[in-house]
Amino acid sequence: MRQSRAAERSAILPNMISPGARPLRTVAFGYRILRLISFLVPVRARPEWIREWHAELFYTWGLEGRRRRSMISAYVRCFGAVEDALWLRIQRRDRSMLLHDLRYAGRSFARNPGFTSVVIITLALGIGANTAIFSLVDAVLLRPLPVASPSELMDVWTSCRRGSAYCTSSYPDYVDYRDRSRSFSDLAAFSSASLIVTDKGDPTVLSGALVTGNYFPLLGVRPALGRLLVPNDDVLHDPQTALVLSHRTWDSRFGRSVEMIGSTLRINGTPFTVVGVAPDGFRGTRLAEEPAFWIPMSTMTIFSNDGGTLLDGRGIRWIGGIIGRRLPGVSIEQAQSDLLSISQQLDEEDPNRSGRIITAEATRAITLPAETGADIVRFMVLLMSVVAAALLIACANVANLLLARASARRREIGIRLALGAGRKRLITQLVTESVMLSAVGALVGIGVAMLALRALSGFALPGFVTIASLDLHLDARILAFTATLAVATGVLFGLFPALQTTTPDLVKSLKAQGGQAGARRIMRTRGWLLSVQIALALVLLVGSGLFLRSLRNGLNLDVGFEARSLAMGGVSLARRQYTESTARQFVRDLTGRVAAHPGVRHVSSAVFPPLARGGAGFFITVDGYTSGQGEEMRIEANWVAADYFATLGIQIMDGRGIATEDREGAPLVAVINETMANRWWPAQNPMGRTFRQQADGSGAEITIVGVAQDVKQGLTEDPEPFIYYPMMQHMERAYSQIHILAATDGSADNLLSVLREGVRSLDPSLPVEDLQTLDNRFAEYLMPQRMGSTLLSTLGALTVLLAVVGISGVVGYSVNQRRREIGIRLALGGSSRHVLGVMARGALIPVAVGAGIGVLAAVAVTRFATTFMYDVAPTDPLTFVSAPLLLVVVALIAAYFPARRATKINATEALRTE
Amino acid sequence: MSKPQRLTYPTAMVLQALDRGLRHGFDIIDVTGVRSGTVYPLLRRLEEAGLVRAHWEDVEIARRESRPPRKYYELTDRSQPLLQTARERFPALASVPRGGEVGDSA
Repeated sequence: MRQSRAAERSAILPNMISPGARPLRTVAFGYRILRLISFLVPVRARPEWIREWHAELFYTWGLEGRRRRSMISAYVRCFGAVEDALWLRIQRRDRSMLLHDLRYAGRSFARNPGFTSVVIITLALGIGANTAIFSLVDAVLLRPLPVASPSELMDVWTSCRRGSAYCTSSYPDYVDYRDRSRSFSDLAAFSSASLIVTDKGDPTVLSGALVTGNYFPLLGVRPALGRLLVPNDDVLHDPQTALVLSHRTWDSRFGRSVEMIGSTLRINGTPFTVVGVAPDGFRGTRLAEEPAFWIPMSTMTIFSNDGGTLLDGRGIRWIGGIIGRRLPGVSIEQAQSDLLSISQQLDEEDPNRSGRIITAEATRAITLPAETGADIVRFMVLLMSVVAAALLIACANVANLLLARASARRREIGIRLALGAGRKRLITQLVTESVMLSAVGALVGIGVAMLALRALSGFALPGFVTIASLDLHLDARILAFTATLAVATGVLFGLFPALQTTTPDLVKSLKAQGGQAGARRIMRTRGWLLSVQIALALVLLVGSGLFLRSLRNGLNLDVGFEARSLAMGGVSLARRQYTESTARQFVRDLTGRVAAHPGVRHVSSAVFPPLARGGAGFFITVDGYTSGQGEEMRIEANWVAADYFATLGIQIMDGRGIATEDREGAPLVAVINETMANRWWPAQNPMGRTFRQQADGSGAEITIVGVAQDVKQGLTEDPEPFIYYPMMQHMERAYSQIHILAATDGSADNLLSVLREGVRSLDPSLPVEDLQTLDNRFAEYLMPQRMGSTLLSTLGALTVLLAVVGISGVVGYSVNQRRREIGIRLALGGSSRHVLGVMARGALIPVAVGAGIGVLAAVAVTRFATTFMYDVAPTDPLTFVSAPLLLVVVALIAAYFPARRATKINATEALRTE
Repeated sequence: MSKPQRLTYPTAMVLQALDRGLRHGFDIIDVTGVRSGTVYPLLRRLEEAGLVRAHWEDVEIARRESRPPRKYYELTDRSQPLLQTARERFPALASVPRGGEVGDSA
């Protein structure tokens, strides 16, 4: 048998895989999983079953270009293997036997409602948490885009000049890629924009997508109503003002009215005709950007004053994404090398292109910008591992409870074995019982999952992807996952006790002395299970401790300004036909109106609001400084109005801040931050020094008039050199979007209406965007920490509770088993303290062992979560001391009460009983 | 073996796909969209009922194409009446593409 298996393996494994060691490992891993599942299949059908499913796994993997990531969907597809195996198992078995087992199990559970409900609740929590997180993973990473043949789609990116390979492209870039590539049937471009939509009510800002005319035809999406955009809508110098609504917008804003087709909506003041509604479930091709509507890309020329350059300028990189469909028979690698050769061609034709490369990747479930994508994947893996650990704890706990129950049934099982019942038959029956428990647990778990998803909907993933915006629902895939999980769980926690209680020497249990050996073995197994449970619980506790600490550190983080008393709101003046001079007047008027409100301490404005992760980048030359070879003279800058530093509470270390006299026509000035001052003028006074805004030194001379304290641009970044320009001197750059900032002595919440009213009184047609308190903005940044710590501490608390159940169960069991021994000890004059110690030891040793293993495991595991930690080392001593301490204290309390029962045993009675 | 085959929509889809020349479980899954956990038990049930015949492809072919050998399924003559009923009951089956249209991706 063994030999034939080996032969079968070698026939399949060595020649099935393309070059590269990694894929070999991943497919071999899948093969191993299949072999595990195959134990469910009747022996005779097993080899053939494995071969067939192996071909399936291999095919699915090959379907998506034999990449490591496509293994995930291959595994998902192989969930079906479990169903298939179970089907075969049930098929080949006497069905009446199964029914009999189920009825028997049902009756015996009904007799022990307390035990049954504890087990079911434990399992429901474990399975429910896994179902909830899996549906999140499914929505974000696994579910294919609802378009035709999604596996042929690829995302195309242009690299930044330095650093990231995943940057935006310019329109001429897009046209070149589309016209020169030979591996795509077509390439479409899209770019999202916040646009002002006016229907009957107030103007609102909605996120829309500008797409090329071939976008919908390329994706193969069919309209829910009317038609979608076509190439004829997107003609460069004669764009059609046609608009397609998203299904969600059509539903929520327009009540699914069929009359919307043909009606007019004003976008940034221009009338557009609604031509159709996109299908339900189609939410664009970007996770974080769900458009409310789609309009032709060439209409950009209508909105923008310099629309012409948007379509011609190679340097204006405003195209957010390009998506392409590979020709049949073209592999991902071929498409990638095709694009690479195009970037080389373009470099040869235009040396100024500075060697940007073109990256292309298979479109995943929903396109993610790569860096955020990596963060989200990491976060998802973290969440999945956490809930998987919680489920294992639940399994260990339930196995422990079942062992206790099994030991009570040893006599019954012994009799049945003695009467000639087959061991296999008994094991099957016991496992059927446990699978039945886990199936009920899974049913309740689905309810738990729905509650958990509702609870999570207030949170956001890294990259500000709010969970509420995801399309979460429990579909067939997720239910299949849950069902698989339930069966696997049932087998996992049922098999141990079943093997233990049916060992042949249990026949001894029929003898008068009650099978001490069997009892001791069960005791030992229970001890081990307890250790496993404690170890996993400790990992979760340490994790939640780290997350809580980092959340607290995040909340106390000194970003360099006073967030508690600030509020902000944005206005996009350029979109409303403002000119530079009317924009200046608007900002002045608004500042005056807001400042006039009682309680408002300071008012100012800036192009980039606080925590915007930087500003606009410039290359500069510093007068009197020769930059070193390869030294990067690129600096980020913001445009701010007078009183900016006082409003945010940023200290001026030297000189002055931006003031009202820094207006148009006045000498060009700037305030720099400490890091910039230290970099170019270390130990000197930068006041009055000058720099220019061009890499070649040609720009106008700008004089430094002040040095401001460093502030954080994001939460984790170290301060970088930074420049503040007076907004009024650069309104041509500033007025596309301006953020008004106000500080108060009272609650920042009151400022929101002040800002809204201020804008409305000056221009009723101008919507206020991003209206929020800075505290609120801050909270958004800490979302992953908040979500992680909420989830981990909830699960941590539950696992501690389960540990209590486990420990008191183990001690209680051993008290019952050792009544005689305790009686003797007490009769011989043993003190109750002595008995207490002996009894508690039975549980505390496994707890200590588990805690030891848990600490080691936590050290190994927590470093994977460092991305989400602020100022907390993954081996934070405080957490690593307090979490085990907490568990030990809980263990002592949990062991004390059942152990005390032992001291109350009446010695004579205990000795008299068997 | 002699049990009458229950005609559900997935059964009808699988029959139709086999009739259109699709031959492996995974092709059928791709084209019909029926889940793998449904398709394989269905194929086995049809095989037991004698409506479908299965055979393994030659190991040499698989070796040449560097992949594991596949199991091929095809309809037997006995499946015709059921297939007819299926088409009458589910007219939407006409949309299942032919084998050649999906292509052999190996």
